[in-house]
Amino acid sequence: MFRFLKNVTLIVLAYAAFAFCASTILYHCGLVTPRDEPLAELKLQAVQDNDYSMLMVGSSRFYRHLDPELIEDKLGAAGHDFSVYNMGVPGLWPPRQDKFLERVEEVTTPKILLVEINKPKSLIGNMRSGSVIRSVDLPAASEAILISKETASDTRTFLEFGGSYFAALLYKYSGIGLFRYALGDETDNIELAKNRFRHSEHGYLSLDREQKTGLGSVGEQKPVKQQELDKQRIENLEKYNADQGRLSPTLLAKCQAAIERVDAQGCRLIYVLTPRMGKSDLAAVYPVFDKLPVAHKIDLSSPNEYPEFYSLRYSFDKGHLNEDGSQLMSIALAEKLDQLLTPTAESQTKMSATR
Amino acid sequence: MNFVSFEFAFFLTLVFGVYWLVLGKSIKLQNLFLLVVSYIFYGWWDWRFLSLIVFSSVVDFICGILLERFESKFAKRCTLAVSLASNLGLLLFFKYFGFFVESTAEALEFFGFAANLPTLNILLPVGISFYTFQTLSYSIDVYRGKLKAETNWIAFFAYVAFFPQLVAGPIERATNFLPQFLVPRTFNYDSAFEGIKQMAWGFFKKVAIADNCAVMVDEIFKNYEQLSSTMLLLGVVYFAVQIYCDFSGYSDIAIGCAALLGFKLCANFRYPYFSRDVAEFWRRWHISLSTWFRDYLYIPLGGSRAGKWTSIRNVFIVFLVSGLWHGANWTFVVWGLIHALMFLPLLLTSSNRSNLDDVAYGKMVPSLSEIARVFSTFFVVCLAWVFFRSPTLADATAYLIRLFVSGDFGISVDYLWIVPLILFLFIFEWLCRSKPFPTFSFNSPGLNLMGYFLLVYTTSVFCRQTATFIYFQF
Repeated sequence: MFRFLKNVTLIVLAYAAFAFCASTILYHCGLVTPRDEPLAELKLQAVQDNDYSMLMVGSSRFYRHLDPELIEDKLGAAGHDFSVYNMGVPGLWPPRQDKFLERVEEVTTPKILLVEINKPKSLIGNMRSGSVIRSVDLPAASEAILISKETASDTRTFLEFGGSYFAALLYKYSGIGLFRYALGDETDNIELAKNRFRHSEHGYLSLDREQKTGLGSVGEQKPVKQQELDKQRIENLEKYNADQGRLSPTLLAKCQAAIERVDAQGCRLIYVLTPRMGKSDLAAVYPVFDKLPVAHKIDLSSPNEYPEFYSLRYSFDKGHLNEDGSQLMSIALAEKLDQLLTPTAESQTKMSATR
Repeated sequence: MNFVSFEFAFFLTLVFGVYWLVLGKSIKLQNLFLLVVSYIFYGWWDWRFLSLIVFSSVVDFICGILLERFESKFAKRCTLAVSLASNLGLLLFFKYFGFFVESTAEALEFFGFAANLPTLNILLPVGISFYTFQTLSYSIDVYRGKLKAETNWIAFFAYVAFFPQLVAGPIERATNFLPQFLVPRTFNYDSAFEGIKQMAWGFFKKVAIADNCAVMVDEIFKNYEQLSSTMLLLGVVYFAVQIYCDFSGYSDIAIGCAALLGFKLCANFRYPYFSRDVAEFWRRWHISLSTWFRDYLYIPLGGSRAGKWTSIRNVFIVFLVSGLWHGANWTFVVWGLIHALMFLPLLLTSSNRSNLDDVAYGKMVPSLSEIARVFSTFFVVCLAWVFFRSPTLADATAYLIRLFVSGDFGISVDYLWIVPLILFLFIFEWLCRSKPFPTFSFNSPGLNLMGYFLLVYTTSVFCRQTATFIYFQF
């Protein structure tokens, strides 16, 4: 019996060492691809063929929440003439979102690029959310690991990142890495994707509509309770405390570089902080968002300003608003955009009149 | 409590430690402890359904003693009837009441009668089909005189509720399993390690393969009207892999877990997808259920010795009941019917017991004929799975029609990433098909250890928010 316990303990310890080394390699080289990424290709085709002046790049919190037609109407009423397209793709977080943004910039140059600010999702996190490992991109993976490490609490660091953090540092400072672009970007079967996403309108589709039509890939709805929303509300208020969250220099540098890069093309990049983010994401993202220039950010997450985004009446599930909620969020975004584009009291009055 | 959870890891460690280190010397205390932890394990889902297990245990414990005491045949028969009625009554009420009411209402409406029959929203107790069959086998075996009635209630209750196999089998016979509760158990180093290996293999099948296949299968079966034939074929094959890995994975974990506690459970799967015909498939798939039906239904009905027509009737009854056992839906009945129809030619030509050995026994590479037979059996089994997986008969039929006539052969690479894992599964199983379960058997212990490290690491990497085991609902 004791021999068994001793040997099992030794094996567990040896396995821990093995897993540490394996994670060093795996975390370091693997990026995950959202299962819905063919939708990104369809959207790229759509904006290539049309001359949209405002594009919105983000995850499902863009795809499900921002109605381009409504935003166009509201901005038009306020005197801003924009043709808007929603490029949101479910599950498209950084670093895949960064790659997608670069491709958007390659195919078109709108006047405004709205980008959802988010922290890179870890490999395991993405695996659990239904994504698959498809590309191996060492620089992006290293950056994602550094950001995750910089924003994680100290107690979680070692367990969560293992040797990958040291490998990421090694790559950052020496350029020595294990894999580089072993697979690369690829998206296939656009015809299948066209069929699957044919009901998207201007790139937007609320979760209610998708569920009602029975088309698309939405899973089972997981009803949310008011107490969960209250918790989110509190977490969203806590983020405004100066001592909450840790600033990630890597994430800040990445956002600033993107703003400069897009500006150089004659386009304006605006980061949007959306409601319904998870606690750890908020803690990682808000310190960076706070440091961005005022002209390049919109905060739609404030529970004081938008209490309805944290109410059951406008909820689909824990992470998403329903169709009514998405209409409210679209109007809120249009108002904020109007303030950014023409920061006068007059425009505010015009927008309010159209509500 | 789900096997694939941190609670279970903690639970098992605690149970293992207390069971051997604290209670190792007393069989009575060990049994009592097993009974308590088994009830905790089951109550973790819904404590209210514990009353059903207790009820079933009490009824069969008393019936067993009475069956032995009564001299008259009539009294014995009445006692057995009480046991059967209690267990099958529970099963019929909780599992089939809604189905029978709905089916009756539909039939009445079909003949033009307005039917307004009462319906109840009954929650299905986890694993009810498994433990009722287990207790039934005890009563029947005592009635037949194959087994002496158990008078130690703790041992008997622990036998009924033994947590590793309580909710999804293997369905243990009292003749094999109950005696293990009555003899002192000593810790066996080798069998404990074998148990850990089998659990590791079970977790790999469930977590790395079944749960990941499930996501794709759900998507394909949900959107089948828009997908190509190739995608639908992929959906069926993935479901075949999913259900095998899900269920046999559970059995492996259960057997391994029992081995850690000094028990030996019967094998439930023996590489069923390497079968050369449907009869062989059923000798290798869910063995504890198919042998249960053979011993307690097929043979009492007359088996194959009462003439051709009786044999055919019996085969159809067994397969239809087997289908219905899996779920209260006509899709399961049709699934059973398809298997009966596939079994029929083998029965008529008396070739249903022609493949009793392992395929390509003693050889690494099978012959072309063996390959063709294995693939054709896999194909027809897969087609039957469509009915098993589809929510309605109409969906299953539409799925199959589209599979064969859509004329579209596009495939999405997004759905192929799991293929290497599935290939590894089948190649590894092929190489180990003469063993009870696949194990690494290199000459070097270090290589074997590395093999298991890779297996566990792969499992952890491909772990997603785990779905519950499919067979819990049966």
